[in-house]
Amino acid sequence: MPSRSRRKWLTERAEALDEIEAAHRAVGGRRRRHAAQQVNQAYTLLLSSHFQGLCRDLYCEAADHLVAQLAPPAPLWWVVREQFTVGLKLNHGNPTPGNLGADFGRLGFKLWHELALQDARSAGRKLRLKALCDWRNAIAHHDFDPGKLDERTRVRLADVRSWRSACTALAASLDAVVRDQLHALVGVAPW
Amino acid sequence: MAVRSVRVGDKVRFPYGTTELTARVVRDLGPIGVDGRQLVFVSVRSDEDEGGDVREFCLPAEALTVIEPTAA
Repeated sequence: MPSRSRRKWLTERAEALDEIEAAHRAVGGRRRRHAAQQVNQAYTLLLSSHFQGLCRDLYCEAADHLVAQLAPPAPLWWVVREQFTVGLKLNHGNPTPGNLGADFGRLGFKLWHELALQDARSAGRKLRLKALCDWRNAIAHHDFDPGKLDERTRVRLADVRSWRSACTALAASLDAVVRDQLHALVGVAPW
Repeated sequence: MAVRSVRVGDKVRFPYGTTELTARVVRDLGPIGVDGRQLVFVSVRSDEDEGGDVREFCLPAEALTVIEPTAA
């Protein structure tokens, strides 16, 4: 059984992303190429936003399980809860590999090391996630530096699909790694 | 009567150590917590004597007391 966060990624978050794919197909007219580029840019922002949401959800779901298992005494319960989630990079920052590693590292393991052990393809997915975040920033700040964007200034639908595929695979690996790490930490698997 | 779920914008109160804090709900993560309980992020502004900073952290909605529901 996957985490609730991953189930949300596979259902309502996937539906939202599918809708923008459908919008891409619906684009027509004389300025189709220009309009399609706008949709690709919107798709990139939406994908980054939903993956950030998935990662934040998964972290908070994990922290909720941990505190439930630790069962600190009542006066400390709130204080302990705060310490697990205050200042999360994923609350306001992009889902960069570094931000993911920093936040999940607060649970006591090296995320990207564990992801690599879980699936050897994680290294390639990490590169695609970094590319997604680079493009997301370029679009959000309208700052298209070809030197940072694979010598291009236009994002292609194939790019976004490739990043989405990497995010979906990373969601599955994150789900498994966090489950196994929490099981090792407190002796009870969260999902 | 159905219990109203905590919503973004609600002002809430909760115990904290040996004191009590008030906060604003700023993000609803939905029913993803243990046994499907609703998790939310709250924003707390501390007093000037305690640094005057703003902290955001995640709590189960069921543990919060709504003291000023959002109008929305």
